[in-house]
Amino acid sequence: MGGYETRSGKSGSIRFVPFAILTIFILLDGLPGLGGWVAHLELGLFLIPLFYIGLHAENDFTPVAVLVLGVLCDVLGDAPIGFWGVLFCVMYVLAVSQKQILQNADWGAYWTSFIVLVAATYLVGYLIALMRSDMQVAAGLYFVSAMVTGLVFPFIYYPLNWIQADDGAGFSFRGDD
Amino acid sequence: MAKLSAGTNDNRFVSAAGIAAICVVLALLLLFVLPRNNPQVEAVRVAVYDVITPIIDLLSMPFVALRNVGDSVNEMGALRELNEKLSAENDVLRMQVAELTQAKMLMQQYRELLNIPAEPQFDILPVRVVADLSSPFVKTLIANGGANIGIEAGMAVMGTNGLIGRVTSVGAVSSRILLVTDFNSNIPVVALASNVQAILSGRNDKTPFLQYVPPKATLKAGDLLVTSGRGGRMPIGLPVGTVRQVKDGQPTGVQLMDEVSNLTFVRVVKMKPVEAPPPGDGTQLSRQER
Repeated sequence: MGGYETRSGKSGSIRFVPFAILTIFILLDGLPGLGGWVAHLELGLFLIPLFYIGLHAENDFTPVAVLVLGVLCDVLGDAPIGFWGVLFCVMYVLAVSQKQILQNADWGAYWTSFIVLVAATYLVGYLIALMRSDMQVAAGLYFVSAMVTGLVFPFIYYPLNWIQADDGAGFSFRGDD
Repeated sequence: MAKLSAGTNDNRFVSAAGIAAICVVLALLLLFVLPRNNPQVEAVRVAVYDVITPIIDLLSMPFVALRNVGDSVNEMGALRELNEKLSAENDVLRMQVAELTQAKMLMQQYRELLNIPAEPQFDILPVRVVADLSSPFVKTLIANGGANIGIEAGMAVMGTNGLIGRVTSVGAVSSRILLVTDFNSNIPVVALASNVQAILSGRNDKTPFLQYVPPKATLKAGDLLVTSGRGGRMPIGLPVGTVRQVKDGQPTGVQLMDEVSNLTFVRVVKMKPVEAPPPGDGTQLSRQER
């Protein structure tokens, strides 16, 4: 098998697992960290399952669920209501737009695509912060967060894809035969 | 095995894209129409925190344990040095206690002589930090105590050595603390040495800064800043930090007493707020005087 394909999940976990991981990341976001400068980062780990959800979007109401989770992230993260909601939806729309482009792509293309999308999503967040009088962002740390999120991608995406593939619902990358 | 193809999914994607666009617009509306301190939103946040605080508390246990192990290992190495340092500090503190007792007695006598009302007494309520929501946008903590232990919105919060923030919302079993480093935090402070009043404001990075410093203020690097008690919500004299650097007569930043990104326990200062007199009374008095 050469190329990128989707398969319908046998147990329906294609819908459940990425959303469950996304919810767990939202909850974990508030846990006490290790302190130091790491505590000032805004890692968008939840963007990784979101990217996966976007690439596998098969339901018209998935964006509604994405918006609801974004608002939950705002509530739990003490951000202005709608901030992560917007970013989640933007990331979702961008990921959906990559569906065709990533057909027959190898894993490097996925990673590159994710880094570009994360950069774009963080940029939207930065612009929103500039427009709001009650938000001020430390630009350096913010974009370092985007970079770190991009670097973490393989450690979360590939296990997620593997779980899904095992269940008959994941992607196969080119050369996975 | 269903191959992903644009042809078979065109109709679905058009409608999905439409719904996604509606969601983006909805989120933007929420973001720009709902004010951040909307009471309904705040009530929802408080209710959600009350529900998730026990869950986060449970989830955070391994992280806290890991951090404690790390801290213990670090401290073990420097135990002897720490012991010597604390012994020396203890000697100094004993002398200071004697001086303070004498000063307190004198101050009490002066107060009585001048007929100045005593400063309100305050209690300390220790709470544990269960969630650190700090990010480049916001600097807040969630603590595992709320109305159940008498915490109220507006109360000052101290770390081990000094002020770190204030309570902004209170649930039944949880409370949200806005750190002094948050962009929306403004605390009235005074420099002890020069009696210069200013506002300590956050800027979402590691150090807050001083605003509204009088142009001819005589602040120096290292000057101790304490709460001024203006506003009536915080006691006077809580240590806050020191002036880091002065450039062209203006301080450039404040070094806080505590590292706010690494807090496990904090202390809420419970004080009966000093209420402003009702506006009607002042008008009546001035009329009588006339």
